[in-house]
Amino acid sequence: MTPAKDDELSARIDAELRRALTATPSPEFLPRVRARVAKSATPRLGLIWWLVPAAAVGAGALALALRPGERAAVQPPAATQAVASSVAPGALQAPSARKAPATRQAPGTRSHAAPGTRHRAPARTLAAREPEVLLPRDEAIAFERLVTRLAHWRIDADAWVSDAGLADPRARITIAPIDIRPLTLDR
Amino acid sequence: MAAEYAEHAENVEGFQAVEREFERLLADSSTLAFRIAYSVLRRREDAEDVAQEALARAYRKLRSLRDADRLRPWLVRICWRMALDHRRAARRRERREQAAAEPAVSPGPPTVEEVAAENQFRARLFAAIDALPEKHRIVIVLAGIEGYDIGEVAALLELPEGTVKSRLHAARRRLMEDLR
Repeated sequence: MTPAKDDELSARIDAELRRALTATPSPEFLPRVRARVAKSATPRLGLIWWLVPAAAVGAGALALALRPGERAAVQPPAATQAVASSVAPGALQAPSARKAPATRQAPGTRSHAAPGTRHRAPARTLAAREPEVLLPRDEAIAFERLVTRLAHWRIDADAWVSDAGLADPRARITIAPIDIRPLTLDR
Repeated sequence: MAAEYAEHAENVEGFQAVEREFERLLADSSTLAFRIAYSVLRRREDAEDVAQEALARAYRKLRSLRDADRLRPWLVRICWRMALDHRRAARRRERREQAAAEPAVSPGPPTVEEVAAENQFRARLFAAIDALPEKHRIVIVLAGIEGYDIGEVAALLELPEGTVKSRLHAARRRLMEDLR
């Protein structure tokens, strides 16, 4: 093929390519693209907004699941348990202490259960996993007295205050003098 | 509260920035995406579908792309690839349908010889382009799209200009041989 014919063919190729490739999309094309993007973007945004509370709930559930169980709880000191067991049986202890099996008691303390009764294995509930509340000795005794008196309908405030070694609270009550004036009519 | 508001405002600003960038991309590159798809598919409806999907992907990409200038080359590549995939799938479908259907009736003779010759030349040209190696094909398609010179094609393909020039030369020589 001659160089002139080559040039002609080359020009024809260029022209044909340009004609074919300068096609333009229809007027509906851009609105369709925007609609497509909006459709795909909306649920993604929704997902992002829901992700935060979902993550919080997940973290909470994980924290609950990983919380140390009853077995890992700190054993109460033997002295405190002894005090608690010497006052009103079953009344002064935390729920978990009442439900605790006999094997968890400190050596030398006695069981709260009546002879012959059987301890059931503690159900692994939320209550069973609550931390134990340890009462100081004097508070435990005071609480025992209160419970006893309530049980017998004997609540003597004077005795209670003097037993506790407190000053009579009535001595601190002061009543301001009452000023009585006759009513006057403005009219 | 103030921190939450600031974070929300940042999110809103980020979202608006993405929207602005996408509108800019649509204005600059939607036609380019369509033409790239059209050069492969040669059917307007198919090319629009592919370009639309590529632009939707580009929108998602905008959120993660740090350098917005790289989006256009990325769009060219993804559009080219999607168009090729679309054509492969369409050809597989056509082959299945042809195998199941009656033998196709050949089209009637053209009424005007000149138009027929023109169409024939175009058909031969695109057949020759389709036969080119892929790296030559995309160069000649991008160079054929009006307004793109060697430098712009090199930027779109993220290639050195010398590489684009040699590929373009090789592609044109092969086309000339096929069309003589």
